[in-house]
Amino acid sequence: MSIVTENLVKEYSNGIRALKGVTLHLGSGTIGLLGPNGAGKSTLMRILATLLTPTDGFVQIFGLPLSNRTAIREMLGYLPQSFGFYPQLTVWETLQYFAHLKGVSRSRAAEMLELVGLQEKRRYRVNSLSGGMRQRLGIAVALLNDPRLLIVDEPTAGLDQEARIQFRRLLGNLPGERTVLISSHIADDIAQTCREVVVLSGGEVRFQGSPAELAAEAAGRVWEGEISPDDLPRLEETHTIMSSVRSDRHVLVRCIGPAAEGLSPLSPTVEDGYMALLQGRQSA
Amino acid sequence: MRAFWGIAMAELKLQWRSRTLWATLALALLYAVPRAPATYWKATITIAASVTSLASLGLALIWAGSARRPERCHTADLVESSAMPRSVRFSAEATGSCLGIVTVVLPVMGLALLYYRLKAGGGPGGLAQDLAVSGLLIVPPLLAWLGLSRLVGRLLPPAGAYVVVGLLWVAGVWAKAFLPVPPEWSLDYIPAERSDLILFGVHGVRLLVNRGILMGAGVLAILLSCFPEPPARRWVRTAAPALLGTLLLLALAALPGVRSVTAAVDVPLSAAEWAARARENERWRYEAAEAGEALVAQHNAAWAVPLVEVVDQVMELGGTAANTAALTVVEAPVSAPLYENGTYVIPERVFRRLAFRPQLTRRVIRLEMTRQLAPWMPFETDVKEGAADGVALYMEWCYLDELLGRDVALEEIAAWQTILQRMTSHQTYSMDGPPGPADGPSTDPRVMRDWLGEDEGDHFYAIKTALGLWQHCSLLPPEVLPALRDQWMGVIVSASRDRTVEDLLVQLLEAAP
Repeated sequence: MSIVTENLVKEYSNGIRALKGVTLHLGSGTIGLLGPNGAGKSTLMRILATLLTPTDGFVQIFGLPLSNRTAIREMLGYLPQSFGFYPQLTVWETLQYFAHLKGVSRSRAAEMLELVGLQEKRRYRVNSLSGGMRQRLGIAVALLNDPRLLIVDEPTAGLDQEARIQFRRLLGNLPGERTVLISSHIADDIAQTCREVVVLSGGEVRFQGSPAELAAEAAGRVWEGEISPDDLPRLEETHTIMSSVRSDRHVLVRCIGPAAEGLSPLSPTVEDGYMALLQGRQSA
Repeated sequence: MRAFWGIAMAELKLQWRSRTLWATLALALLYAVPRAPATYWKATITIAASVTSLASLGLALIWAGSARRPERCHTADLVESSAMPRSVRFSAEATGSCLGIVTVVLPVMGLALLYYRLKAGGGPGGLAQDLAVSGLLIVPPLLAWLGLSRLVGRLLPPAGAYVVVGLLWVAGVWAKAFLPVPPEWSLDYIPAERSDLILFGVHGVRLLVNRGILMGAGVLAILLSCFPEPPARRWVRTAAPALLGTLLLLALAALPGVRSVTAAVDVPLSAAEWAARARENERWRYEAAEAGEALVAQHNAAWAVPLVEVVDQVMELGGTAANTAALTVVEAPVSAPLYENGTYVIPERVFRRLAFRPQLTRRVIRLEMTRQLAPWMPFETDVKEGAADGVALYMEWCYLDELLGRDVALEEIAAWQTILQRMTSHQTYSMDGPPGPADGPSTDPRVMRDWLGEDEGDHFYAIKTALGLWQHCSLLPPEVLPALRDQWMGVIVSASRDRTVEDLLVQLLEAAP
């Protein structure tokens, strides 16, 4: 197992309990961490990145306890949810700076620059980069030490569609054997890149399995059909509306819930499964 | 090690590229250049003062900010998740910042010095030495100050750190802690006389000790700022930098010589402004020696302020303060305007001013002349003092007695000095060997001594006075002689109480032209 957590608890000094006994056993490959805002994803990732100390519980990364920070950090690449660089430095100087911090060579930095496709921008100051380029630079920094564990927190937040696709492709094509833990609240991103998904909500693990298994959580509960605009409020009371497209006389709706008149069943997606899971927990 | 230097170099680069730094350096030069001084060394001092005062704020803000730059730039998680220990990273950053002082401040200083050298018609030769001296003067106090700033930045959140650093800087400026260039380093003020060179050396050693302490304080503050975790208790985080800052300022103020040294570099202040400041300060009012020292330092640092103006200001202090301060003025180690063509020239107006206090004047002049005569008179102190007393009496008398109806010119004083020199030469010969060639009529003390018998100790003083008066008589126009004769006679009689001397004097006066 790459990552093992047992009854992991994190309570902040202000009394907020971000994690309430998280137990996970994660293998290698790309793993997605899904959950709504405030679910505890970032807290879990910061603990795994040795930046936060858990209040209680047990964590082991590649067999090493969390207290062995230096050894873990040597194997770790971490890209936080929101990050910045020193605006006075260029792209190349930034990579070199982190190469020094991680104790790797300049040639490795050059490789990473090439990997993320920023060679042409090497002389540019980092504050002149677009959001997507900055994310790519961030992933280059995270990959500098060729980490066995790559933790990427909400990497596509704030990116446009093209940049999101580029970034997903970049993560999907990473060379070498490694465990990649990606967090997101966008199910589609996870579905596109991960072989395993963990859903976290309210500081607890709600689901752990493959994307297909997550999608199956909504099996038989996803519907689509045209209804009258007047019926839409009534449907909202009993179903979770995933989408609604209004035409002249009707509304084409896609929803999760029990069978209803005028609606046809659909094959669930990961997003449907994720929403069904959250909805089910809420109703429960 | 490579990683360490890599981080240090990155820090250096960040410092170089900081707009705050360049803005404050530009401000510092803009402040200094309009006050373009007339001489090269004054320019050095002005620029150094300007750079160390104004640029110290910019650098301090950079240093305070650099301690938490990752947090400020949202790079903290990226940086912290690297394998390099935090203390090592902090140390590397501190090293880079220290290199920044050398690579930022000294080139600016160098360019400024070069500019003034070329402007003054000189060449770049000796620039390296000047730069080294400037660096020695500037870097240690700057390091102490910046180390403190970094520690403040490490212990407090950014906004709080900036406020504290700003307040400390204002307090430092108020205490003149950022103007650490002493006038003694000015080569213009290094005289040829050995005693003053020794004094210069003492100042140098004191200065080096001072700089050593400051350097140590800076290194200590930087080391403290490299601790990975700040103290947890809030009051410690708040009180520690304030306490350290206060201690540092107190240390600066308490170190011997620093107060006058820092005051001395306050070049833009006029003597009047300086005196006004001195008057406002109760302590200076009552510790007149400090006032005198400060005023002299002011005079030494600011060529433009004539000594007589300084004396005027000293006199305004009033009472005992004025006496002591005036003494300090005259006892000042070196004062370039007092030297002309290698001769010690006492500005006439200074003594006129001092003469309003007769007792003081006598003592002052004696001290001055003793020092002046020291290289010429390698014999007993009592003889030297006797000779000096003669001059003192003469001087006091000249300046007090407005009956003369005319100012005593500097040439006359110089002439009197020449006489004294001749006389003491004869005295030397009389004690150590055969007399030299006759040099003026009857000025050989042996002759006088013969006339006076064995009791020379009591009479020597009067004889020398008589000699001086006689010589002076020869320089004055005949129409004033009768009045002078009465005056001198009275003085000599009261001084010697010896008819033999009076007879001698009459004889001498009659022989005068």
